[in-house]
Amino acid sequence: MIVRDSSSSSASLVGMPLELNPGTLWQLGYKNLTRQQTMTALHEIYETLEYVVGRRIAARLNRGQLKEFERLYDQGQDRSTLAWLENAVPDYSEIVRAEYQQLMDRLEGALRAARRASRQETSNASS
Amino acid sequence: MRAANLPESLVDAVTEVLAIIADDIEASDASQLITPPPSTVAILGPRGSGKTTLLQAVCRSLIDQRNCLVLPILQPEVFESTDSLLLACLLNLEELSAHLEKPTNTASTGSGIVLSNAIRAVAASSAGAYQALLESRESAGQYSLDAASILRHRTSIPTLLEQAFQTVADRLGPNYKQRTIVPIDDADLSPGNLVSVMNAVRVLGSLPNVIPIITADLQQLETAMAAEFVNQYHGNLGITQASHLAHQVLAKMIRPERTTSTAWLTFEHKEQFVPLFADGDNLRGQLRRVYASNSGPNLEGVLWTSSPLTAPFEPMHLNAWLPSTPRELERLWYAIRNSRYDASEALARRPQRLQHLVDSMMQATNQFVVHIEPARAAVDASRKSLQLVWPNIQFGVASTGSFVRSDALSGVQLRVRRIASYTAALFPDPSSSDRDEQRIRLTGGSVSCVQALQELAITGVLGGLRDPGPTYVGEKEFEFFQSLRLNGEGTDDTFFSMPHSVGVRAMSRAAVAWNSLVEFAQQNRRDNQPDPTSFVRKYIQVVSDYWTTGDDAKIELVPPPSLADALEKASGRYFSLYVNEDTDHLLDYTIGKSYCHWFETILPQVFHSALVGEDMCKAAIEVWLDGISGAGRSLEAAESVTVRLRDRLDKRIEGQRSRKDGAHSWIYGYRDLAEAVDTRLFADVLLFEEAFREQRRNTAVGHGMLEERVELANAKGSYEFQPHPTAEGAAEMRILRDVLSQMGGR
Repeated sequence: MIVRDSSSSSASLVGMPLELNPGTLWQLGYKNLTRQQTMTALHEIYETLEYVVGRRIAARLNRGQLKEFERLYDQGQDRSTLAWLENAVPDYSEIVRAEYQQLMDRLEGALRAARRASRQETSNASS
Repeated sequence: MRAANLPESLVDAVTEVLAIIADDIEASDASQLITPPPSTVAILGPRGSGKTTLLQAVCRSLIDQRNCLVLPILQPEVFESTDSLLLACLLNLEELSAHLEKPTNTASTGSGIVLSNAIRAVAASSAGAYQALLESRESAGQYSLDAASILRHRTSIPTLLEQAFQTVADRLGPNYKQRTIVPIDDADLSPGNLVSVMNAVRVLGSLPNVIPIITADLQQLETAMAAEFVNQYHGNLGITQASHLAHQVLAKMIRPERTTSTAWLTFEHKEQFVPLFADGDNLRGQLRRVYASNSGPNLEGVLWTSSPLTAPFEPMHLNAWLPSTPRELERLWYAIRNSRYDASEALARRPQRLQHLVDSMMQATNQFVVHIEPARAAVDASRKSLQLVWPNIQFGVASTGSFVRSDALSGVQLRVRRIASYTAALFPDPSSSDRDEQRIRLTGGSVSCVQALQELAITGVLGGLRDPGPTYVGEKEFEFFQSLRLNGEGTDDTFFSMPHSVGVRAMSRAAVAWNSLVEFAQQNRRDNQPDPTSFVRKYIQVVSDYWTTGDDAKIELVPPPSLADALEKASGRYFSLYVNEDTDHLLDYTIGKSYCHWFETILPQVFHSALVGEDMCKAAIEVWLDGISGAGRSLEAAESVTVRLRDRLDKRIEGQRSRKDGAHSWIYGYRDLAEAVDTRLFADVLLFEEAFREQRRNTAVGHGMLEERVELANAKGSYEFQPHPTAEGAAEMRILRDVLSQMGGR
């Protein structure tokens, strides 16, 4: 899916879509999961991303804006809610990208660190 | 009460604490700014556990030793709200001073002046004078007081008190160590005046050479103080924060190393506290006589007999040391732990006292050995089991389980989960086989742990050899319980509690009712049909139909009634028993009162923790509300519910993030419940609701932003899935979840 800048009349690309699929996990180094574990992991990552992005964006909204957002959200008006958010936080795209990248970096880094520690432990044990 | 019959070791335990304080006082050095810590000694325990008797025995022992001044026992509950405990204490001191033998004129005059000054200062700054100043200038004029002079009086109180005690103590003679003991009985029984009472105790405890000894039920003390704080803050402080504040205040005053508890008593010792029987006899003797006359069960089977005993032989205070349900045991454990657990250096410096406790315990339970071992290879270290081991028999307890099975005394191994986390501290090196060394390493918490288990072990001894004995939850059932998901959560800390059961009849019914639940669970497991909701229905049924009546036929109803029917019957029973609503169920125990308490405070917790599904939970709360509001004891119920649910509310809010909208019914259900019951509880729930709303909002904002910008796909890329779960895969999942947890999303 291509993300388009709704504030522009032209259909210019604002960036590549951010992917979250089994291949993403493979690239990060998580290569020993079953299908079920993979699906679970992806959904948990997505939920976490929802929360951290939301926390960051909500922090930039004032009380009135938050109230308005909740009103729209409770009414179930997804389209207008999204449009309203995009208008209130124009640089939302960068925020999503930054949080996504940070999460991926941490997932990859944590796995590497764990493997390094494990190798070190094995090496110490053998010596 | 028969103070004269008290075991010496028990009195020694308290006097030893006093000796420790004396050491601290002597070690203090004003020139080096080393001052002794506050010296309040606390004797804690539930009603009927023998606190007053112990206090009396300690006082008598101290008087006999003739080396310190012991004031008459003060009872704060007799004070009016404007009276002062300090004033009563000083008046006692004055009276004692007057009776001291042959004072010299000078000394008498001097002590009289000092005492008068102290009494005037305390009286002038008491609530009466202060209130008068606030309400009327004329009245204040009569007192010759203004705000500044009241303040001056107040600030001078510690000095004047110190001088007063010192002056009187100086006249006691060369053998006395100028120390004064101020015994205060039932410090918790002064509702509406508790904070000032405890403040007075604190002042006394801060005086050099003055040692107040208080007796109290710690839980009751905390609750009453919290209620006073709420009033003092005029509703600006929720009961949750007030409870926390009360806990902090008391924790500072009542220090673990200076706290004793009647739970130290062995069974034989405790028998002597049962006040039902005439001198020269005891509980065991009475029961033996009762049963010997009709060829009934032997003593060891008495306490768990299923046959209702007829009055007046029911030992009403029995439950003071005998937990009747696993929950009660758990509470006992926490009560003991909270009263004495402290990893501070101060405690570590007192190994001899701990050793004394352990030794006493060892002597009381001949051949008693305690050791720890891993429960099973697959069980985490935090869930190791603690066993009490006798030659040829083993006892234990499962916090979610049941009573020790009577006919399985050999080889029984029950699991201790909550307690087990402390056993790790108990034995840092479980591989060590040196039990003597292990004993030396006992910490305060672990001693409490051992004592709690000792209590249960005694229960097991008494519950032996007779059918129907309490049923044992085996390993399989235990695992089955653990595997159940109740309302999306594990059952580790979720199970049901019988109504407060006092005396042989009620406890016997509790055991039978509990056993029926356990058997129900076992049947569920055998049928491989885990149905948590059915436990709730069964639970309500056995309590309403069986526990209140003792009618065995009612317990066999299979399947249990629908939830609506069960609750309707429970509500009907509640109304019919609602005749003692103005009395605490513990103060004057009846099955009716205990049932009302269960209905008001335990049931909502069960709804909250064990009912699956939004509609069912709301329906149950609705029925409960009808019952509780119709009977009109909503305020007390709200307070109890608040206290009981606080932890769960905290825990639940933490777990909300990963749930989808619509599955958060609990908070809305409780909002409705709280709003209908009590505004204070409502305010507490609103606090949680705001946190919940913030999480919900953040997730919604993030959801909107991600929807078209992050492509979540289940089948893209070239992932080579593992065909079966592997250890490496499990490790990767752990790492992944750790990261997500750190990011705050889960």
